[in-house]
Order: sequence, then C-alpha cells, then structure tokens
Amino acid sequence: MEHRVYGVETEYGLSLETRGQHQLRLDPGMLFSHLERVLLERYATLEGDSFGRSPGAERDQIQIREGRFLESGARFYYDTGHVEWATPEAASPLQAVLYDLAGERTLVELAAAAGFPRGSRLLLVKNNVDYVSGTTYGSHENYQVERRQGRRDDDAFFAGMTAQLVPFLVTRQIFCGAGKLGSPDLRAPAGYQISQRADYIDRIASSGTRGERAIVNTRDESLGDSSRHRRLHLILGDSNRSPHAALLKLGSTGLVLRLIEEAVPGKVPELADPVAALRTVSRDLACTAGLPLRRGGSLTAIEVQRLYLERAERLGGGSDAATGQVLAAWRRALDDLACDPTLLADRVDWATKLVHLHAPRLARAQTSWREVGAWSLVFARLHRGDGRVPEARELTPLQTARHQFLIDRHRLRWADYAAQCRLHFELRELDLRYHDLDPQHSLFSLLETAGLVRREMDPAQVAAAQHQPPEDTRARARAEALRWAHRHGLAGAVLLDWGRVTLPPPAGMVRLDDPLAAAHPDLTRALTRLGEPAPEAVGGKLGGLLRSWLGR
Amino acid sequence: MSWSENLQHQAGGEERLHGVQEAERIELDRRRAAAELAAAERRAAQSALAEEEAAARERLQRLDDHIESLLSRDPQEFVIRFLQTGGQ
Repeated sequence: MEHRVYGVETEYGLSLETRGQHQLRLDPGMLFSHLERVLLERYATLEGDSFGRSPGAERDQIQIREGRFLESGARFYYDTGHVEWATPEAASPLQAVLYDLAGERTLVELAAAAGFPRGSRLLLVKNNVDYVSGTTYGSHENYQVERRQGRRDDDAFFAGMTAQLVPFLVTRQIFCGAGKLGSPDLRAPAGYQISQRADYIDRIASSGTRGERAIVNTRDESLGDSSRHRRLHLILGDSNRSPHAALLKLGSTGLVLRLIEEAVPGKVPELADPVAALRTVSRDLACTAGLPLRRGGSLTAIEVQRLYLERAERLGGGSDAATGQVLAAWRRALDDLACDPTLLADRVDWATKLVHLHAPRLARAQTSWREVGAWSLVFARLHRGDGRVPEARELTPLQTARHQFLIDRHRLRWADYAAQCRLHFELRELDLRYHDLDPQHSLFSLLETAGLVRREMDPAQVAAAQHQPPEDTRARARAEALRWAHRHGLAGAVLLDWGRVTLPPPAGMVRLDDPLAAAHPDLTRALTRLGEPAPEAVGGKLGGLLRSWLGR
Repeated sequence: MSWSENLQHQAGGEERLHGVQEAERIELDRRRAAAELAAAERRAAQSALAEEEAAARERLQRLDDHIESLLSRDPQEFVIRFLQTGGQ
C-alpha cells in the first residue's frame, strides 16, 4: 500500500439500558465523565490540548471536551453530545481498522467497569442515526494527501481532486454502507437504504460538519506541516461494524487518491447531480439504477466503481500484498454485487442486516419494503412529541381522515396498521442492536460468532493495539512523551495534541510536523535535556504555575 | 454324425447355453447390485442432505431464538428512548 496516513474518528450513540431493557435518557456529558473516570484509572493518558483549534467550531456549535490521549496514540474525547474515539495516525488502511477495533474494545471495557446501577448497562452504539429525532452523528475519515507548491496551484489541484473523487465517493457506499431504515425525507419514502449518511449530505463541497454536510469536506486543517500535506477530511461515510467493509472503504479511497496524485484517472464520469445520485444509490438495493451523467447517458454505481477499480489495478496491481488484498476484495465485491447484492451478506453491513435481520421479519409479516417505507411516512406524520406512535385503537377519525391520502396513494390498508406499527419499531430495534458494541448483546457479534460474518482481525492484535502505538507514525512519539511524563510523575504538566507536545519549561512546545515519522529527534532531545526532575518539583504550587503557563 | 458324436455336440451346446445363461445371470446380478448400491447411495445422500438441512434449520432457529432473547418486549419504547444529540 502507498505510504500515507489514515485515521478514523467515530462518534458513538449513548444510552443507559436498565435490566428490564428500559432506557434512561441521561446527559451524555455525564455518561462520558463516567467513562473518562475509568479510563484514568486503567490507562496511562495525557490531557488533550487543541485550544479550540477548529475555525468553524463556533459557527457549527461544536462543543468539545478535550479528553485524553492514550499510550496507543488514540484520543478519547467528548464532541457535541457523543463519546468520540479517534484512532492514532495509521500507516495503512489495515492498521487504521485495527486501531478502530482497539477503540471499540477499550470502550466496551470502560463501559463494563463504569459501575452503573446494578443491572443496567451503557449502550454504546456505533452507528450514525437515531430513529426518533432524525439526528445524525459521524464517522469521519482522514487521509494525508499531497500539496502542490503555491497557493493557486494547490487550490487548483484540490479542486481537481474533488471533481475526480466525487463520482467514486457517491458510489462506494454499495460496498461500505452500513444500512438504514426509512428516511427523514418525507417526500422520498424508503423502506431500507444502503447508507446511513446519504440523507444528510446536501452539497458537493463545504467546510461545515453540522449545519451543512458535503461529499468532500474542504476544511483545511493539516495537523502537521501544512506546507507539505493536506489532511483530506471525509464526513459522508458510515460507521462500520464489519472490519471488511471498513477496510474496503479506507483501502479503495486511498488507492483512488493515489490515482489522482499520480494523475492517472484521466476523465472520470461526471455525474449530473452528485447529491441526488448519492440518494439514488442509497435507495437502490439492487444496485442497478442508472445515474445520469452531465454529458448525457447514465452509468450504474457498479459501472462507475469498475472504472476506478480498473485504473487502480493497472497502477497498483501486484505492487505489494496489502494493495493486492484491497484490489482483490474490491473486485470481488463488485462482481458479487453485479451477480446478487445479497452475496455481500458475509462482509458488508447493509447486506448483512438486510439478509440476516430484516428480510426474515418482512417475510414473516408477509409485507414488502415498499409497504414498510410507505407506512414509515404515515408513522412519521402521526408520532407525538415523545416519538410515540398511537396504537390502532387510539387513532381518531380525524387522524385517519387526514392521512387517508397517504393510505390511498401507497395502496395501504388501515387494517394493517397495528402489525406494520409493531414491525416498524421491531426493525429499528434490530438495527440499533446490530450496532451495539457490547459483544454479549450485539447482533453483529452474534452473527460473527455464528460464522455468518467474516472475522478479519486477530483478537490478540486488537488487544495489543489498545496499548501499543503504530510503530511507523508520530503516534509513537506521543507515546514516548506520555511514558516519559508518567515515569517522572509529570502527567499533569504535559499536554498533547496531534501535531505538538507541550513540555514543562524550559523545553516548552515541540512540534511533531511529520505524521509519517516515527522518530522525532527534537522531542527525544527535549526529553533528554529535561532529564529526571524531582516529581515534587512539579506538584503543588509549581504544578499550578506550570499549568497556567501552559495556558490551561 | 454318430449318436455319441451327436450327444457330445448336444452336451457342448448345452454347456455353451449354460455358459451364456450364467454370464447373463451374473450381468443381471451385477446390474441389480449396482442399482441397489446407487439407490442406497441416493438414500444416504438424501438422508445426509436432510440431516444437513435439519441441522441448518436448527442452527437458524437457535440464532433466531438468540436474537429474540436480546430484544426488548416493547420495541417502540426502546427505539424512542434512543434519542441522540445531533453530532458532526
């Protein structure tokens, strides 16, 4: 695989479930604090320090609690109502997936040890939607990409990169979508969709992450030497439970970026309306819909993907084992999709849920996705403030009269109301429980244990990744600083950020500009010079002075 | 042909006839045995298939039961309480 930094940031859904499987609505910030307390007890960590770095944070009403960096180089923090986990800088897609799984495992451990009232447990849900308010939360991907020298050249290069990436990003969901029920868009009913995020992406390019969300996020925040590299931040992807789907997502995107950097793609098919195409693909479970092109004609999502795959094979085929693995998985996925999309049920979340969880329910209820989607429109119009839908016997004549047009338009029958209402919520519960992280309760874990979903990673490697940083990125330098601080009792006096370490005086701030450098001689020299200060020298008043000097 | 020659010839014919009949009987036996073997194999294959199918059905039923055991009794309550803040 080509050498570039990969990273994943995942926001988790949170809820406390009692023994009777009731859920309590609790302040997510409080739940985060419980997890953070256990993290501090069990792991060596250092405080994060981004100084409100993000320029769009205020506009987007983003509330971040800095959280902690871990010895693995990962970061655990609180972001706008969600526990968030960022992987350390990884040198390959496989490594990024490994550290993402290590994050899942650590969160499960923290939740189990958080001491919630007896019989209750914290639900940590790795998905991107709730089914009540229609809110979304993200799984962001980060890719280190090249810069061109000179502002004008670089802007032009990035604009070209965006244009070449968009058709790929719009269509890649067919092999890495996480699957979702319904749609918040009441004009376009959907029974089941391939992507969780497609409904929330409303433009081609933008720097926003909350008020507006784009196919390509243009926020230029390199977290390193910005003159040499850009950090491409993608927010349109879904959170995957399947490591295979996550690997395909990161691996294929990395290869397409390489095509662009090496000027290989040539002309890509220009979609007439990429945002509309994103939604069309998400609603097309057969993967056969034609996507209109700007210059006329149309291509299916599979055909668009084959164009990129064939170029990637010409460029990277046989270059190394990791690249070969991604290319083979990409080709197999497209071949299987062309034959029968349900063949992906053993490795891609949307197909896994469709085949093993949802389709059997539909068969039992003798209904179809068309009917389920149409009924979801009726329920969306009938629900009360708390999200509850009235039972059949509670429906008033006025309510039935008001919604008769929907019943007629979609050829439904009021006689099916009770059964469809039950099914509507059963499917959503199945869906949420698939994404539950806890292996004792997760439906994904159950399917994996039953051998119905591929197990890609060695659990021993995942366990090791909870504590060891990647050997070949700057995460290793952060781990060096963290270990030094703990060894010398200075954990309260050292702050970490992705691209810098702030040490006690006289060392001060040391930059870690190159995310692909495991060795940072400036940091090693600074730590050596600081030597072995007496721990008491930085406690008490001096510790307080240090912290104020550091700007905390 | 003398009487004794005629008798010898007739005996030879009977012997040949007997040989042919014996060969036919062996062939018939072989065919019958092959058919019985094929039928037994078919029965065994069908039985193995049926056993395999039954085992697969049982596995799916166990999986289904396990899934049911992890679900709440009130799916509507579960879903509406999983209310999240909009994130990034």
